Formats: sequence, C-alpha cells, structure tokens
Amino acid sequence: MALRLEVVGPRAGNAPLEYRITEPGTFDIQSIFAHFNGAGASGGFRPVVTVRAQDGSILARVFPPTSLSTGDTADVTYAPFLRSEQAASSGGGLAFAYGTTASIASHPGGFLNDQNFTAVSTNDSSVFSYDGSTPARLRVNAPGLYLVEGQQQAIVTVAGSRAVRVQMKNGNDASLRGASGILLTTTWTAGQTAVLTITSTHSRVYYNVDAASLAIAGYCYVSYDDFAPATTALNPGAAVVTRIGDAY
Amino acid sequence: MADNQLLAPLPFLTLKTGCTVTVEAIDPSSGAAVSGVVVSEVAIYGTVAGPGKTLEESIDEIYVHRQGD
Repeated sequence: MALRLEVVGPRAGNAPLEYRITEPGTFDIQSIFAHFNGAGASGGFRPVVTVRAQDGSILARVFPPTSLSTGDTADVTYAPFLRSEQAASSGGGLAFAYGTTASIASHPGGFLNDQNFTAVSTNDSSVFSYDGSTPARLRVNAPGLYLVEGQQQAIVTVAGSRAVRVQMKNGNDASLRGASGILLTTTWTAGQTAVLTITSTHSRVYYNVDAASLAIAGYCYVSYDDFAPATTALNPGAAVVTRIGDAY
Repeated sequence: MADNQLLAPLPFLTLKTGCTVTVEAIDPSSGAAVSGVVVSEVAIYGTVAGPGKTLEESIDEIYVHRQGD
C-alpha cells in the first residue's frame, strides 16, 4: 500500500514555510492551499509556492497573476490547469479612446500642421486623457501595445502632394515612437483646378509604448498632422486608439 | 486592503526525498523574500507511491498532508 508522507514543520507561521519530503518513494502533488495575511507585510508581495530539488535548485515557482499589497489577505489554491480570471478594465474589455478633429476651411499651407482634437472620449481614464493645450492631443498614460486607426478627408484645389497622418510621439516631441501612420496621400499636377476629395479607407498602425517612452514626459500622445499646400480644406476627421496588449 | 480568492497553476512533478515545497511571499520585481507575511491553513494534497510499488499501484490512495496540525 501507499505510504503516508511524514509531516514536517508548522501548518501556520511567518512565510516562508518549508515542507521537506522525508518519506522514501515518490510524491506527486495534486493541490496546495494556503491563506496569506499581509497585515504586517513589509511591502507588496506575490503569494508563491516554490518546489526545489534536493540540492536546492528551483524546479518550479508558481503564483497567481495578482500581486498583493500590504494589508491584503488571500486564499490561494494551487492546482494543475488553474488560472485566475483576468481583471477587466474599468470600462470592460479593451481600453480605447477616440478623438475627432474639426473641419478647416482653408489650410494655412506648409508641413506638419497639428490639428486639434476637438473632442475625446474614453472608457478608461487611467490609460487615456485629453490634453487641451494647442494643439489639443490625446494622451496615452500607460505602457502597452496600441493600435491606432483613423480617417480624414481633404479637398484640394492646387498642385502638390498632400498627406494626412495620425501618429504617436513621446511627450517632448523629440522623437516619433514607431513609424508614422500615413492615412492618405495624393499628388496634384500643375494646372489642375478641379476639386478632388480623397478619403482614407482602412489604415491602421501599431505602436509600442514602453517605460522609456513614458519616462520622457510621463506620457505619449496621439496627434493628427497634415502637410499640404495652402487652399486645401479638411473635413472633420477621427482617430481611434485601442490598447490591445502589454508593451514588449 | 482586500480579501482575495486566487487560483494559480501547479506543474506535474514527481518529487523524491529531500525535495522541498515552500510557501513564500516574494517581491514581485526582485523575487526577494518579503517579511511580515503570515501563512496559515497550509494543506498539501497529493499521492504517495511507496518503495517497491509503482505510482499506478498506489494511485488509488490519496492523502491530505497538512503541516504540523
């Protein structure tokens, strides 16, 4: 018959609590339960179970995805195939924000004219916020992998190339994080006078916002630029930014 | 302060004499031990296969192992 494993050490006490296998034969762990009380913890912690070989080498270290803070308590069950449900964002699902730009009757001409986001909405204010300075921008305040999509419509009457783009930058404008997203571009030849309307279809760009990006000014931002000759008009545009995962 | 009910995965490992199972509190960033955390109600549930017997011969006997009742 199978042998009962000897019990070593207390069932309760200050962490760490070690259980050493002393019985000959083999032991297959099916599950472990422990209650953690962090009332006296010196800081935030993970409630972990560590399995070590005879020489002390770590064979496995497992813990739930949630870290605990000082004062927290937790009942933790460790078993094969278990995984805690991921916490939902405050708005439910993925965090996203969108902004719209107003129409411009007459473009001032030149390159990189930042357009104001005149309205911004989000389902998670901890990730996105509205920077109402000029130009008004959409602030990104948390690391992550972001998907930026947008559309714009331009009405041009003079020759030259035009482009409109939505882009993400560091907070100090010093560098562009990732490639800029050209949403639409076209070129007029000299002498054309007819009004041309161009509208982006389905353009999207992925941006990785890491800790280094955020450290520069505490945030990154999304803005709308257009570079075109004068007498170009812009109809209202829109951009949608979605946090689709963790930063890499 | 929050009271949490949490689940965590556990790998399939066949352990022999001298191996240890430790319930710990570690810093999420450094992995260093965090002091002041009290652990209670520790229970380890598993299967023991004694010497001379295979795991299959002993698999029908499962014990609840508690530390120092």
